[in-house]
Amino acid sequence: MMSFIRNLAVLTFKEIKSVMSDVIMMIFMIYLCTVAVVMAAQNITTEVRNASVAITDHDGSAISRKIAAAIVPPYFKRPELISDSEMQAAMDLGEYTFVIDIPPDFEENRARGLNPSIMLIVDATAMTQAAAGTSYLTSIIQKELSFDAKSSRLEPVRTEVNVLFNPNSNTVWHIGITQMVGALTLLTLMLTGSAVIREKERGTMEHLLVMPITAVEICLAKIIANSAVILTIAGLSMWFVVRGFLGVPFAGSFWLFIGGSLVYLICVASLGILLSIEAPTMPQFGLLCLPVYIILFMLSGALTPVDNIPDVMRRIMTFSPTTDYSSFTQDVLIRGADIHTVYPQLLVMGGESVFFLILSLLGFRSMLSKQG
Amino acid sequence: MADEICVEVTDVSHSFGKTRALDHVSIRIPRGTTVGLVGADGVGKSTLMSLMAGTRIIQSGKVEVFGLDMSKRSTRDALSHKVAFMPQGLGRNLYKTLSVMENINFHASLFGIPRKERKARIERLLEATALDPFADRPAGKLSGGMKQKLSLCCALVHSPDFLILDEPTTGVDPLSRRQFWELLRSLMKETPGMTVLVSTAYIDEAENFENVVVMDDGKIICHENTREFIKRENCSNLEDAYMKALPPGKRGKEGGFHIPPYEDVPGEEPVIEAQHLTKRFGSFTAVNDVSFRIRKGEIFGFLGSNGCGKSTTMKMLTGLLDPTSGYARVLGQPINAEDLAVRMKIGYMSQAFSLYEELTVRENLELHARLYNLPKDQRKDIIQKSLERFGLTGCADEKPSALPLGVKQRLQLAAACQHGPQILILDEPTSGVDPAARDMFWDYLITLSREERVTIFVTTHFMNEAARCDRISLMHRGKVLAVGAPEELRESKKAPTLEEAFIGYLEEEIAREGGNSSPESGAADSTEKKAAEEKQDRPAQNGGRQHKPGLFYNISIILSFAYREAVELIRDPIRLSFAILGALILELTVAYGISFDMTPVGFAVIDHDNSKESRELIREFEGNAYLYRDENPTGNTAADMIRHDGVKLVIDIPQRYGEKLVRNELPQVNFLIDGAFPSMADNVKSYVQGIMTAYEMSLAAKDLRVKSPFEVRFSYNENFKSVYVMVPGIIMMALMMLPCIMTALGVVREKELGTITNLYTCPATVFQFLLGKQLPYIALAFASFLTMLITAAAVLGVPVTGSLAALSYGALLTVMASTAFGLLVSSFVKSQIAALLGAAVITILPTINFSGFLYPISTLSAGGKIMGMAFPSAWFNLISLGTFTKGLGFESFSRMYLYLFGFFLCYLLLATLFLRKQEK
Repeated sequence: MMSFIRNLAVLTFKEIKSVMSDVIMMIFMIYLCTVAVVMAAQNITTEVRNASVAITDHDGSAISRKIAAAIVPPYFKRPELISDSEMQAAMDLGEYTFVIDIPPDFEENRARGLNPSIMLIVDATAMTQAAAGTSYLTSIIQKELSFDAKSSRLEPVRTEVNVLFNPNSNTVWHIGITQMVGALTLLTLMLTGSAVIREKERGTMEHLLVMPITAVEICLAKIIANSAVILTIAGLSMWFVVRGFLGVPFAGSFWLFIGGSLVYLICVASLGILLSIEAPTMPQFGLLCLPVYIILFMLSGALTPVDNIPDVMRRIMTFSPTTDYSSFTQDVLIRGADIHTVYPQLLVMGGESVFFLILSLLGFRSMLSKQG
Repeated sequence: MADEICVEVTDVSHSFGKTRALDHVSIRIPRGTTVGLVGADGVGKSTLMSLMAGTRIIQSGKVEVFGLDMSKRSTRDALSHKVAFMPQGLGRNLYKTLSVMENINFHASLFGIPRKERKARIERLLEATALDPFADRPAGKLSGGMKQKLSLCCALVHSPDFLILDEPTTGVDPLSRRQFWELLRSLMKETPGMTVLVSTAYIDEAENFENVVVMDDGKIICHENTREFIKRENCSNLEDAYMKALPPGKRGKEGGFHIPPYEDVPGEEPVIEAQHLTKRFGSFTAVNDVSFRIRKGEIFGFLGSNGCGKSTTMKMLTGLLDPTSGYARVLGQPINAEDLAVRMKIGYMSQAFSLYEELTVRENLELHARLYNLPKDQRKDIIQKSLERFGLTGCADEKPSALPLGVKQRLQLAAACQHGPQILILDEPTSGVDPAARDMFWDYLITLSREERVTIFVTTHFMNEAARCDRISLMHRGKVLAVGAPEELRESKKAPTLEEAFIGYLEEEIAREGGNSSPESGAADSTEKKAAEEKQDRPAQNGGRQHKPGLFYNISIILSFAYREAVELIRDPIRLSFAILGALILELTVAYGISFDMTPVGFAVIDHDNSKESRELIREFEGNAYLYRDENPTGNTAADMIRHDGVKLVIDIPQRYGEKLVRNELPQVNFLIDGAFPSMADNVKSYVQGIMTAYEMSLAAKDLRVKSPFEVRFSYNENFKSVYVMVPGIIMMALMMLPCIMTALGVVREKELGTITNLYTCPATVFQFLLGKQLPYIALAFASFLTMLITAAAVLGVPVTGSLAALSYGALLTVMASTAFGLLVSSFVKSQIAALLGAAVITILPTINFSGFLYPISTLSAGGKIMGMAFPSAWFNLISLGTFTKGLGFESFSRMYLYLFGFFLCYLLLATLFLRKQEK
């Protein structure tokens, strides 16, 4: 047992040194955890924000001007007036997500009680914006129209909407954290797997095997070392970049997050080792690793809410550690959940970690016994 | 002709970091001479040769070949047709998955040799080297001797005037070595004007060359006629003369070895015992029924050509491989890979360098000391002693990657011996090590054996080393030909030297097997015969050898690279299937899995009022298709309900709501929304607003018939189905990221495997090299696009509504750009891991986030917009979405095509700039 711990420590230390010695790789790692996170967080909005609107106004009345004036930032950009002929081409290129088409004599027909309708054309390929944006736009216009009709009346009920945990619906919080989940997953998966392949390709694996150390020690050392390096970079980046620079307030305990991340990283590192056993050369590994990462990440509920994933797929994805981890981070960092709330997720992640760890240790041993 | 100068090197110096490899070297080699270059490891032989070959950038001084300045690129391009360079290492310039014929053909096509002439020349070379029966065998499966012959064929295929061979016979058995030199001699005979420069670790081999150059410490200490040199030093052979020419400290063991006779202790168990060991890999028998016993303290030598099964036998003894049949015992116990106690007692040194390149020499030794659990207090001393004993003190804090082969070998031996093992298993420990260091190795081994009774099991190609063993075993093609004391074996063959005896055994075995089937036989004589005939052919060849400049030749070079890369790709079915299947699985999962379709979300109610009016309000929400009510939430507060029950919305109705409403007192209703997912929060917010607006309007005007004044038209995607957006998007992602990953390893892998020297020595430009490499991947990526396209239409029900041709054309341009981007990454990173990570890390952000796939570009902030537009993905996303979902055709995309092509050109040109055609 003593020698197990000692060997593990020595090998882990060696592994950490190996990772740190490749300067270009370290630059990529740091870039992904800092610059990339900031760029994504500051440049993307997942909710309706700055949506582009155009108006084709065939009426030219006061009411159509009123509608135009009611569409304001931050939800929408100021609407632009365009002609019918421009509309199709502009929508083809995705320049406007919404086009409001006000028919001729709209005001006049309305005054005559004819109930004329406004046409709202939505680019339904802008999935993240179309639905909620439509709802907002119709609300805004309806309000304008009803004020117009019953201008003296007030609303009978005061609607007070409070968004909890992220009162301003600040996307930066969400994206910042999500990007870190993605970065951690990608780095751990690739680094751990390729560390195994590199040892095989350079022949150092063979050398390790004649030394008085076991396959389990070699494999565990890789998992621990890579997880540790990445967790350190990620922890620092979470604190200084996400919390410090992007100003995301962590609602829950930072250390709870770190603990959960460790469990998760061990799981992903084990998965990386499994992949490296399936794809024994670097070019093969790269081609296997990337789709696995994209699927894990995109379907984890980090980019789109888990509730939106169709049933069958969601059931499959509950086996993915990334799904649990992404809900864990949202619970802890944004919803401020404490350990009493998230312990089921921690248990599940722990279970997955143990499962993948055992699989990778077994796979690693049988791979080594077959190589020659 | 004879007085013309072939190479003139003037005052050349070269440093690697702090190490000085060449120190003001000047040398002049006349045309048509043969020169042997000898010297210890790391004295600068390889550096000097690579400078002459033009594969390394000249730091200072001047190198002229055939009177032309090698620092000029045009010169190097022109001379690449006249100079051939065979780099150090077994088959370094060969592609392992390509067959013998394909390897030569590839080299020939790079030099633009016309097909007809090429065929004749290749046939002749294959015949001369006796490789013709193996024309279809992959280079990776050849023995070491055959690999070197093939390498030589590749170097000679364009009939060079100046041939540079860097240690061509290191690691090759004596028979193959002899055949190699005979082959070279006969080829030289038929090409009188050819200048040959050869470096070798076997000093005796250099004796056959007209002139000898001795190098030491980055300087040339002697350059003269070989005979005269030997005469001047008053010696009988070159090896002794060489030793004398060196400064006294570097001469190795003078006066030969004194080896105390081996004393057998009767009744002692053998330390290593092998009984009928057999190992098969598929149909190939690597080790065939091998038996031997090694006694304690004995030095047991294994001799044989590369690939004869020596290494495999050793691996079985260390437990690295399990035997197919038979058994082996080490230290009296059957071999058990799990038995760590036995491993403590064994020291192993593998043939290829197998220590960590990223750790320094000292750190490597420290790692060993710790893993073998050497006592803490002595560790430092032991490491220091190892460093001193193996002459590593000077480079203790350098990384092995910067050190020459011989020094690396010393480090490996130091690591293997450091923990005081009882058995040393050494696989070619002295390959590539200079004579002085070899003597030092052996001196140490003999001391270990005789004084500490360490058992030593060693393989070697050096006959003088074999002679020092107590017993040797001769192996050939998996079988043991003879075992015995060296002297006994020599006498039984009645041979003057052990080498002759060995060759005798080999020839006998080969004859028994039936001459022709052997790779090593009959090489030399056929060459001699051919030489005369060939002389008549030569003028014709010379005429045709002039390379054809112009477009056709340039394109044919690109195609040669492309063909070679394609063959390698096709022979890797795992990679092919990952490329196609990976994309398909990605497409299917994302199409089925990612959805922005509105799915109902849960809400909970805290009703403090519980009046008719409040229930009426709740009913409004219950009636909405996108909401469902969680009747029994477990949480007490709204925040807890969201955390524990997973509801996204909590409606909090205060007391006296109904009362206030009736009295028109403007009651307030609170809506609490889960903000963790902003887009979700947004949707919920919009539901609330929609429902409340309708509710208020119905309250306000119960009498008035309310008709929505809207007509909403969802264009392009009437039913608002995510799949119509996800499929075009994921195709864009797959075409951006996967091809990029495929090519990202392209260049850096060749650098790690060594085949990049082919680029350095051949007349191709970097641009041709890169473009050629890229073509097969463009084809593969496009095939992957087609399968995704068919799957989209047939399985997912997402057909192309616009122009199929416009989409395909866009896809082609995109994969051209993305594969070029992979090459760009590959051209500046140093390791395969970094290339992989870099390609993924750089492409991911603009592809997923800034391409307009998930978030419309029009909503991105300025920075994001620029990021998105500066990458091909955003442009192809417009084409993909446009043709799949919006029904558009060519006319809408002319600008996008232009940009995509621009990206392709730009990436490829940048990669060309980053990748140098020379080493530093």
